[in-house]
Amino acid sequence: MDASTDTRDELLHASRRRRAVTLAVGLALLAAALAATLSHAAKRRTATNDVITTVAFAAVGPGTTICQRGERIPSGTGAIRVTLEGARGAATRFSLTLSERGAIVASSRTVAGQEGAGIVRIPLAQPLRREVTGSVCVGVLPDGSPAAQYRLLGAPSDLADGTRVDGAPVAGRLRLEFLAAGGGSWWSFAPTVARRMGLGHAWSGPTVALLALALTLTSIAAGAWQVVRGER
Amino acid sequence: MAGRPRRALTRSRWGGPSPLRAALARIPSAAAVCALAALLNALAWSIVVPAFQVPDEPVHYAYTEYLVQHGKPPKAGPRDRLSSSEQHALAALRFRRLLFGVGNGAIWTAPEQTRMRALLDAGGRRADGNGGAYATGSEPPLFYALQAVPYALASGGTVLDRLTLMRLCSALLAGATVLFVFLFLREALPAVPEAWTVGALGVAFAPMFAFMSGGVNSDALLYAASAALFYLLARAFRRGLDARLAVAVGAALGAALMTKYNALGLLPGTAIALLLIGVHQQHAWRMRALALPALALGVATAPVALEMALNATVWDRPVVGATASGFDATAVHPAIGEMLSYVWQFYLGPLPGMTRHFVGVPLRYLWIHGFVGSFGWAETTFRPAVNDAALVPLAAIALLAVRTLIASGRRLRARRGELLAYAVLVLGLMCFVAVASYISYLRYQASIAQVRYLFPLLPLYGAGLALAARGAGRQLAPIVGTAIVVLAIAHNVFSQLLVIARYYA
Repeated sequence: MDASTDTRDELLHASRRRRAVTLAVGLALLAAALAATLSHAAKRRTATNDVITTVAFAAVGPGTTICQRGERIPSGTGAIRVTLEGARGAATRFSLTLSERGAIVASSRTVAGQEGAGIVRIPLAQPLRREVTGSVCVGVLPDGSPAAQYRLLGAPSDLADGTRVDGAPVAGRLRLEFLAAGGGSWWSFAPTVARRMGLGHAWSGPTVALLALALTLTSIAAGAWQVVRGER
Repeated sequence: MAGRPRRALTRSRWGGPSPLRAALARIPSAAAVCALAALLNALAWSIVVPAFQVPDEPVHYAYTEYLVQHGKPPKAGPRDRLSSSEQHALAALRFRRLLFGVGNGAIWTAPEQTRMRALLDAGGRRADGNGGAYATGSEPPLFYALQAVPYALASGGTVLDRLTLMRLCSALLAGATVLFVFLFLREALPAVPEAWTVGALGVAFAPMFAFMSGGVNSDALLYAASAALFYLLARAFRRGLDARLAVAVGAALGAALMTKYNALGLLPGTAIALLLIGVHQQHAWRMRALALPALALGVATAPVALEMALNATVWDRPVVGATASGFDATAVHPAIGEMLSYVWQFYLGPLPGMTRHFVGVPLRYLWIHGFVGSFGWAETTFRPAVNDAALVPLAAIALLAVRTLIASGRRLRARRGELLAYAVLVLGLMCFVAVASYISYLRYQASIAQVRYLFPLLPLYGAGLALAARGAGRQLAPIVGTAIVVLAIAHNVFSQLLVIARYYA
């Protein structure tokens, strides 16, 4: 083995060491970024009412009650999110009533949480212990500014299927999102997400999410191995 | 050792070397590993993205189904009519509520799953659709003929079974694309072997590429055929063109042309590349210089001519399919001046005096933001702050690549013909996409701008990454190259999380 071969081997070894260290640092940073991201609060929706927001179909003021029939609210729901364009005042108070076959199942009166761009989160006093199929009524309580107007965002519909504003039907349905009770990070929500990933595929069950994870990790491992070995 | 032929496995049953096995044995192991990473990543995407949530997936499935059921490609028509079987599946999957409904999730509950299973098991007729006549009915049939294999293999199952196998086929094409990208880099940048892996893995983990390759869309085969074309042209520039290589170039271009009309954008660049190689080999402009280029173009156009003949005689389709497609410009009478203005603005934004066709700067919000992430039916994107932050590493990579090019001035001048050919390939495809979008704009007042249409140029993107790694200097190249790969992996992982949050949270 001559001197030039030794030098080339040393250069190759040094290059491989640099790649390995960079890769280790890079993947560690990626893992840290992932951990930080997944530690944030998750959206934790239990369901939506499938309405796609395309139009503002009505405007309401304080003292108005908006009711929507035919909603299915899953068990475990602890809050409902609606989009009321113009809802900016932190002091605006709302009421929420869920009823099934004419009987009130749950209700609350509260200052709603603002989640940006007119999105209002109205919590229930207690999370639902069973699925409720019935009406959702949101009341804009009259202690807000009398001049305040809130536009209802959702999709156009027949009058018969539409939202009722103080009992009068309007030609549109409000988009509703049902949120799980309590807070929590993406980590705590991961089993739910994995269970949902196991539905809607050619086969079902937890293996769907596990397989996706295994494939992603294996592809990263293959790429990382190739980067370090640097073989041509 | 990679790059060295492995002779042990290359004997055919007659004792001679099997050409396929011999070719496979010549694949460098590094290229095979990069291709494997791309395959696995595309497979992961194929699971993460719900059925029919890759752009135009329902009509690509419909075309394949029509081909299998009727033994011939569909005929272009004024609207799409999906088969009863596929319509049931879309209803089962609640496709309409997901389409463009960013806030709506996929199937989340056991009752929804039970309903889906019942609808899927009910089946429905498969032969009563028109094969996506409006959206894809005029397109060439090669991709769909390939997808007919997994479709037929899962023929006894449900639509989801067939779609799953078809997505697997697309993922295999992602592996082929990255394999050819690696081989292209090996031919085009022989002096920077350590950067071949950087370029190939950068493509393998590009999330929009993996997302598209995880679904059923003819783009997947177009990317593979185009990457093969780039590799073969680079090989011809470096080693010379012989009859075998000319046939291979023609086959790659022919495969692209038989996959999607967008491949027409690659035709001028390929023709110029072949011409330059032919003239260079003959040391003069003479007729003999045209022989091998003519052979390559003949091989490329032969299947197109065959398809045209079959269209006219057996399949009852327009002889030139494009005349019945969205590219038909006879009814809209495009004005050349306005078209040039539109093409310019399609990528770069308006100059003073131009009629504005786009809001903002398309280079940024259509192409760069689109590359960062535009998933589902192009409705699932990162926050604007993420898109803006991505400009920093992209600009750094571009600057490093330019630095390498400037430092290689003398070597580049010696290869100016090859660079010219690549430039024409780029411009040809970009102009084709922009003109197609202009016709769409005139007909429907809608742009078709999506970054995936430029992915046949992925080999050059890989070359850009490889050059960027080298641009950091010999000492830092291993560090920067590795950092580029890690960045691509991170981009891919966070893109998957974005899509998971969109559909399942």
